[in-house]
Amino acid sequence: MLGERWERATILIQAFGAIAAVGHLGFNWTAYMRARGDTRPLAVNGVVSAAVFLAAGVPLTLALGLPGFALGLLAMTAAGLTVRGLYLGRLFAGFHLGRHAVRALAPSLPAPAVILLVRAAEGGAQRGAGLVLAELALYLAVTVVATVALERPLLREAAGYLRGGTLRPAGA
Amino acid sequence: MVTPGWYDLRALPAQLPLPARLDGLRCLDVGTFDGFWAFELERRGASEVMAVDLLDPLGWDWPAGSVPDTVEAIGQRKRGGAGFELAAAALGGAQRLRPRNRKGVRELLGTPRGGRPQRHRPHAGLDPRRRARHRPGRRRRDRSGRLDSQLTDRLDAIITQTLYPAVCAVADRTELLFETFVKSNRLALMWAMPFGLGLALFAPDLVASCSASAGSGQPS
Repeated sequence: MLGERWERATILIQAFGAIAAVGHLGFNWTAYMRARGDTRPLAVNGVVSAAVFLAAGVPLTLALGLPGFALGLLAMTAAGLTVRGLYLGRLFAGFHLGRHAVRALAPSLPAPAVILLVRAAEGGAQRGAGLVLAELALYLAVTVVATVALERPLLREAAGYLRGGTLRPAGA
Repeated sequence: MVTPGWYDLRALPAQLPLPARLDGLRCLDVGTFDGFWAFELERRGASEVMAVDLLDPLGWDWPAGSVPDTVEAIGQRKRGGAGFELAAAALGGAQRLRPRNRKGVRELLGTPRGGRPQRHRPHAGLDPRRRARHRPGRRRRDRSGRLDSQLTDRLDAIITQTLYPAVCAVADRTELLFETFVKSNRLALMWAMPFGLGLALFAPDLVASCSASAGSGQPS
């Protein structure tokens, strides 16, 4: 779809995908810190992220090119997540970003696992558009099924808020 | 009526999640300057608007290293509250208080000397009917805008008018804060995680399918 010019950027697109996914873990923490009137953690996070990018991202980019840039962004995201987890643990006693991640990511993991299994079964066969679209459809279907299966109470609660009817909160 | 003021705030009321009507409410405008927000709150029907400010620029908390010329220039802009007085005389309103001194501000906020003012809690204490007016679905739509800008406006409205005020309203109740944090994050991850992982999984196909077809002449 994108063409040959983008071939070298494949690793970068994959890294952006991974960063978009992982970076959403606790992404809304900034709103909570601001609401509490404690914005220092946001500044710390910004400084740490910038420092990691300068210390790791720039050298890796110079040494490895686009893959190095992708690695630098991943390192920056990892550092940001560490800072985020640290301050969230202080704000919410007993909160652990890792445990939250396991629970929050559970609905999203079956689909990639299924796709990787399917690809392993394909055994490196020629990938046509039909196969890619079938995989994509399978990916979406498994995601929807897993999400509904594992997050049904939360989805029902959210839908209740949108409808404005009687609310029955799901467990946090 | 337009006063010289400091910033031109006229475009802001349409962008901020202020209730359309404030009938029966008492409002406090801290740092009123020429009283733009005080008069806006009054225009929206607030039963009482209290506007406070420090008229002497030397009494403000200036950032370290502020240039004296800047302090003086901004003080001249405020002109001892003359802009406020002018607007008050033109617009009327018996419930409005005149700007006070620093001690008066402290007394008003119930803040001890050197202490911090109370945290801002938007929409806290509003009754459910009033909260319903903040629902993003009730926001006036800009028909001339493009679809993407409407969507981002809608998302922005949900965040600024619903989620963030809700977070602020329970800012002191950690257990509620925790619950909203976990749930809203899990909801966001429901789309963000499949999108991100899908992009990582299908990126080679996204790039290679066209190049393969270009090389073989076959659709792929």
